[in-house]
Amino acid sequence: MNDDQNQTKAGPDKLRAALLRLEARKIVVPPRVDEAVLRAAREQMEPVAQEARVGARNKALPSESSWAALCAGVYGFFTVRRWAAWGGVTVTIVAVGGLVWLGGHPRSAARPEDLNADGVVDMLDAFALARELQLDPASHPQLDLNADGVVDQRDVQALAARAVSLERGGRS
Amino acid sequence: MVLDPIVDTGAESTGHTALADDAELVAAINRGSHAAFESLYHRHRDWVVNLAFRFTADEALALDVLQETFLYLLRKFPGFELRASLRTFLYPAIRNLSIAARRKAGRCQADDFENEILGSLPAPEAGVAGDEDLAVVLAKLPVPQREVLLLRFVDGFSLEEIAEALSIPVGTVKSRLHNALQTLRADPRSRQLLGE
Repeated sequence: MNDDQNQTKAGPDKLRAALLRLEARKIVVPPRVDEAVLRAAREQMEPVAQEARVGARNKALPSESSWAALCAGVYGFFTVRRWAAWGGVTVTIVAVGGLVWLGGHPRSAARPEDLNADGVVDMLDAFALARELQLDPASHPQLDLNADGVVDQRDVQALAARAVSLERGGRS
Repeated sequence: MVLDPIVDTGAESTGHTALADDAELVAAINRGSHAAFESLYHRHRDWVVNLAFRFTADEALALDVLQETFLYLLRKFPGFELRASLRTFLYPAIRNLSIAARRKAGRCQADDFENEILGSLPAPEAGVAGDEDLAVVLAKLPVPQREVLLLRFVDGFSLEEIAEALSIPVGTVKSRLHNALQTLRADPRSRQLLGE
């Protein structure tokens, strides 16, 4: 019985080896195929990653609106103390309610040019783009700012110019 | 039905060992990690392209199917949940994309693709005596039996994974595998591979 089992067990090993030899043809995948798949992945992933980064930051920090609501709340509290009037109570309730509501709402989606995800498009992002393009020219396909079909040094310059104009006109 | 010792105690699945890692990578991809997708791609790329070649018998078509398969996977993100092994999930996609590719290339009729898809095995390695005979015997197996046999012994799928990949009951997998092995045992050209 044991011999039978051993024999039977030896069988599929030989069969498996023979089948693997039959299937052993190795297809070499050209780099262009790898690049096409990974570029598509990068294009799809980038907005998700940006959103995740922004979401994490919003969770950690209260928004400007929340700070404003908090200040209004403090003001309302002192109004109550000073005037002991119902108006002050109303202001406090509205302000605290606003704080709770606004705190749970994310900021608007990050811009793709905001590479370091600090909420501001500035020269730091232009430097970051230049550095990342040196490492991987296909790393930011969505930043073809001059719409010439490639993301290169000219897009870095365009981003720098945009950052300067934004800084002059107020931060983004 | 008599239990076949090979069918019931044969190779263990390789899919289970990779499952945890694949699940971690899938979770990272759901969070937007491109690096995780790249790892997943390189981990399964060769298997996908070789399987596609098994179905298409054409290198260019296999490369097309490789791209299409990963683009199909990519479209599942974010929000993709891996409930079985990734290869179990990908197998039907590769199979269907290969059929579509062959049909598009005019290499099989719409009504007959089921019998065509596994119709051409790669040529045996030169100099290995007996492999040519095995290829001839395999070519005579019904397509569903041959498919299960290759999934089990070449791709290392478990019986449950084969059932999942082909959307058939485990009992059907067992009977197909049993019948395939019976045919191989009965044929003098392949009998020695089963220790008979």
